[in-house]
Amino acid sequence: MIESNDLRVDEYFQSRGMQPLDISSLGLEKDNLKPDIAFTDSNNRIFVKIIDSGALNERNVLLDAVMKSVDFLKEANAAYLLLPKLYASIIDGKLFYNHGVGLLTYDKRGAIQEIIKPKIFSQINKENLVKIPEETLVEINNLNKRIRSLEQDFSKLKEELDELRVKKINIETNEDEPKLYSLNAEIHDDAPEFMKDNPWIGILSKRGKD
Amino acid sequence: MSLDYKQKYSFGADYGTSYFKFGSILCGEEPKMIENRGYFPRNDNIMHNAFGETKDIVVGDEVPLYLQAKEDLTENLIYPMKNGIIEKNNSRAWDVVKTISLYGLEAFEPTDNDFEGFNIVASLSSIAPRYMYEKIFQIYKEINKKRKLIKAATVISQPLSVAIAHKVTTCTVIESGHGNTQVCPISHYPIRNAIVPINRGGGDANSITAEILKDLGYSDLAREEAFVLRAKEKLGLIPVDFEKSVAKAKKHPKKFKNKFKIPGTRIVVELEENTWTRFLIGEYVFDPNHELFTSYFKRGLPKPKDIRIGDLLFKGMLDFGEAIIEAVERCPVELQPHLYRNILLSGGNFCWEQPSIQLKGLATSANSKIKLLLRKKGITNVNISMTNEPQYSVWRGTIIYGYAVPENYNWSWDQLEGWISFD
Ligand SMILES: Nc1ncnc2c1ncn2[C@@H]1O[C@H](COP(=O)(O)OP(=O)(O)O)[C@@H](O)[C@H]1O
Repeated sequence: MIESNDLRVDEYFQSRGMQPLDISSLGLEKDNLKPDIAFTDSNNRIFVKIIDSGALNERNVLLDAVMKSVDFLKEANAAYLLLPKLYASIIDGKLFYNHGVGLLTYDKRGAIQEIIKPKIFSQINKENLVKIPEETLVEINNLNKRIRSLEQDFSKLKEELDELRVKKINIETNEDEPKLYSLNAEIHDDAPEFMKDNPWIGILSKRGKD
Repeated sequence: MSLDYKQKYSFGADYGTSYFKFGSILCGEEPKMIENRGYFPRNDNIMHNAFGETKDIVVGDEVPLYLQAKEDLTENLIYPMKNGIIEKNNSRAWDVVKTISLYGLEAFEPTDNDFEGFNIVASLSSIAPRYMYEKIFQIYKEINKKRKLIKAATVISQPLSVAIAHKVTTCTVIESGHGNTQVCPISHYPIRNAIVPINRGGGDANSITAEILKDLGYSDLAREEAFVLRAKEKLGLIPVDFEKSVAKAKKHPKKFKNKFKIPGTRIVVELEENTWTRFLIGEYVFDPNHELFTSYFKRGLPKPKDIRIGDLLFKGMLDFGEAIIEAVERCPVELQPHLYRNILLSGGNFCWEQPSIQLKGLATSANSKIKLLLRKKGITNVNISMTNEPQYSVWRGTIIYGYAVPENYNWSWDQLEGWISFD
């Protein structure tokens, strides 16, 4: 039997641009909301529940596990169940589709395969979350306002910068177009027509050099 | 990277709203093209999935072989770039982008020993937000994990690419594809804060064509997207002056007669006394504001909506003349005349056939129509050119960009240019 730490789960998620999360630092109070492993891609939290072959001898274990993964969605944007590849064949896929839970399998060598994609929930379903106190809301509102005004200042500055840049460019365009560029000279006679005598080749070949 | 290497292994990838145009410099004048879409075969059968050979996503020529029931299509046939933008979390759409990208690269993968990966230049809509750039780079990185197909990558905006392909360095580009239209002034760089996006494209012209066909009694055909598109391209006429052209056609319908036979069938569409409706299609592309369109909206023609994507407002009903003026007026005053003097039309939605000589003064070309719209608003000193083969211009620009930009110029998130190296 394979040990869960032999599974190449980390490798699997990291190759998809995700980072492992330290579960103890997530502030999950209830045990049933704690995944076996968790990942993030900076926008989403993904929780994974691992089931090993021993556990699956009873039918209800699976249903139970799916339901627990659904519970994860209170704290995560997506949930996966990871089980031995062998068991994937006895599972009804609808169970997963209906609940938006993803299914991963592992084989004897610990290699991971995604069988069903999970639904990504953009908002975490925290129905049983503590209510946010009034003063915190007021504070958030204030922060919001400040960010908005900063954003406005920022886009104004950006606009001005763009304008300055265009002015500079405009001065450049009024100069005589430089005549021949080394890159242009390299273009063969049989090159496509759109490459020949193209002033952009000179301009672009100087990019990053000013 | 030697010059030779760059010349040999530049690869362009134009992620258009309806077509993905791709290929290496070896393509010559024209890229390869597949529809920018992916089909997720139904996989309720889990056995199949765990052990079978079912593909996750089907792209390219194989798609039609997989298509099942119609209901299935809306759900499982995904056009990721439908309006030029993909939401961050739309993982299916991004999966399609990855699959078509891989498809394109594999189609050109050389067997030469010196091949260390393509220098890929991806082109995205000018309104693509920064996370789309990030996603594209991420996808390329993932593609490389299996087999190194990419040596370096960069992303440029479609209008810039068009300007490059057409050898003009200061101009206003209007790129009108199937899903939307972007007006983008350019002066050596795209002028980002002057971009005016419009939520209207060739697809909307399809919608009004479908309504016209329904009115003529071809309801069944009006439901077939592919048929409607052909009918639009064959029947549509751009009016010089909408009201006058319509009045003339109502009076002399025969003058505007145009039979349209559906290839491979015996069905022939004839407009008879309704040839005037041909002008509805053309006018709608450029300016959907005439009151004649109101009755179509009332009867169910979807009105092009204003939508907000990120911090940009895409107006639905803005006429193309007004849009150009809006964009140019956001640029410095001394640059404005140069921008009007070089207006470039690009994209399939401007591909209208030149009308026959008998229709002179009544029907016109896309560039003359834009000229007329600008003249109405008092802008006269303009020069409008139609890019030749507008559907390919973006790809052509990417090839030049890949060839010319120095390989040691590292990607800059401030400038949105340079190369990300995968070495
Ligand atoms: N000859 C034509 N006449 C009118 N419309 C055309 C013609 N050829 C292509 N189109 C339209 O152009 C649109 C596709 O344009 P394209 O630039 O390829 O789109 P994208 O780059 O967004 O995929 C479609 O709506 C298509 O019907």
